[in-house]
Amino acid sequence: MNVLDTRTLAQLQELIGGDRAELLELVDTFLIEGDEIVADMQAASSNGDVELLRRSAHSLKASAQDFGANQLSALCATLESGSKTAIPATADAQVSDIAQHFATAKLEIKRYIDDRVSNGTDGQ
Amino acid sequence: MHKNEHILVVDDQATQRMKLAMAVRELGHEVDSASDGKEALLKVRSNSYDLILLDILMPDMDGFEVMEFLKKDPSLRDIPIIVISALDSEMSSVVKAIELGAQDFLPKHFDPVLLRARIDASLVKKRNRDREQEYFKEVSRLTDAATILEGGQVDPRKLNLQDMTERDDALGNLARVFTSMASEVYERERKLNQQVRTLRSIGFLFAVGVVTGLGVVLTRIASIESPSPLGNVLWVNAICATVCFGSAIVRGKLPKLDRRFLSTVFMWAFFASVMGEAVIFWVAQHLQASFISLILVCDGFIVFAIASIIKIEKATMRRLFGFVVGGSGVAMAVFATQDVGGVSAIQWAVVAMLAPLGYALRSILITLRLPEDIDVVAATGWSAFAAVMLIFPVVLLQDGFVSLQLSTSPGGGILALALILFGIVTAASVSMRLHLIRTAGAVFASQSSFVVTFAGIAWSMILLGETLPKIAWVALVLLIVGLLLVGPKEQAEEEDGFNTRIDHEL
Repeated sequence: MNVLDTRTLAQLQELIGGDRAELLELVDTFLIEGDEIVADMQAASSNGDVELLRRSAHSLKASAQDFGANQLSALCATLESGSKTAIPATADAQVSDIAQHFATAKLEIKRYIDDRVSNGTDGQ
Repeated sequence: MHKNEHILVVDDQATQRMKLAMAVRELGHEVDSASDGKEALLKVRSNSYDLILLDILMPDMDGFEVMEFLKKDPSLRDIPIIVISALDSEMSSVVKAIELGAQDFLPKHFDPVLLRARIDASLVKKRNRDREQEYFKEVSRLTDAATILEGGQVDPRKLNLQDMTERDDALGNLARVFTSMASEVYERERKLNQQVRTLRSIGFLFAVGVVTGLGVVLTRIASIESPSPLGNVLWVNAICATVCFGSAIVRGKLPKLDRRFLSTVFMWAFFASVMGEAVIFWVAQHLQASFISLILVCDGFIVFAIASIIKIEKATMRRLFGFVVGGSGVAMAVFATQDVGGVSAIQWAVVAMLAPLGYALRSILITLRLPEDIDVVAATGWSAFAAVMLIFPVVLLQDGFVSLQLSTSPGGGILALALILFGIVTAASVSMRLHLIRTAGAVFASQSSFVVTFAGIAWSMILLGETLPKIAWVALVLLIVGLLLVGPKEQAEEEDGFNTRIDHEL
């Protein structure tokens, strides 16, 4: 299974009207926010903040799905459903896995953007 | 499908918020964004939105709390809300949101077709609801109009339905029926009221004329007996003031004095007593009472001319024509005096025209300056009193006092009787004329001058045995035709308060 489903990214571009600049802005936002969410997740896991852990997993799940990072989204969904009442025993490992997948997804997304979107556009 | 509706996107996640805003903008709508519940409420209160796309799971204030706030506020509760949810983990939240009044839900991961369908469906519902509410408001306006009609207010402007009559639907039909019904009844009432007012005013006008006409004859009698016009006027006004004050005090209607009222009564006294009565007493030594009566008819034309110039009454073509006919009657009347008094009589007739000018100025002054709430008799009393104050010093300087002796000599007895009667007649005629000016307008009231003329001629013939040459009768006919053409004041109700006036007067 590929880390990134590029068809989903193409659909996302279509959804927002096909504008390259807007897609780039959206990608940048996701990448910055994704880092913040992963950091929140790691902090929540080590501090035992189940609420933050669940919400972070929930947030990243939705955005990952939008950007075609389906594995990442699935990992987040598992963490979210396992964090309904308490921090799961495997939380640290799950968060670490999510962080790794996010890092990979980031690279894939950047590559996709570099290959498909940025070419021929100004400002990137 | 309508475009450019204003939509608010509320999501704490920047990526989701941006994606949704971009997607909605792509559909052609105007978009605002809020990153939490509090910001959303602030924006909703300061802007007008057609739809809110609301994330449920947010820190601090979640989507449910935002909805509860919105639903509590009557001005915001009808904005449709579509909640954004992750279907896999938030189905129960969606159910709760729908129970709280959300119109629909949208999964976080949606495709453009679904987004368009959900947004359009919500906007259509909102537009229908807006139309429905607007319809209810219009129905409410119609029921208000029906209540107004039922309450007897038939002025179509008061129904406030003019804009609704332009609608091309059942409500527009109903509004047109209401307005047209009200207009018909209003017009009928207006005409009826006009007729009643005219009839009543005509009756009053004749009474004023007959009494005032008697005054002219009394003037002639007194002026033959006494050579001092101002001395006579002093007595007449003293008697008039006494009669009026007596009546006003008995009825408890003596008005409070203020500077404006005082200046008004002094001007009134000058116009009516110095220019009017004193001149009549003066010319009555040289002219027949019937000719003075004929000249007094100018009052009506002068009032009309002044009222038209200062635009307190309308100058129509018909009225202007009447003015011209009447004017030729006046000229003929002046020349007719030659037949009984020679060339010098014409000069006296011209001087005599000062009297109707004074009376006309009084009528205009009363129309413009006399407060509505002041009793007419008391006001007449004050004007007579003011006349006494004005004339007394002059009479004192001229040593022109007239002695009222009722029985020591035959002539003195007649003079006293004539002046006392004239004083009483003045009190009655001026009060009545004042009432007429207030109810029928200055121009209409001035039409009493032709009745004054008729009555004056009749009294002159009966009491003094005077006769008029034929040309004077022709002049009289011209004067009457002229006055009829000038006509009464237009009573078209252009201001509010028509019904109040009907109630007051009927």
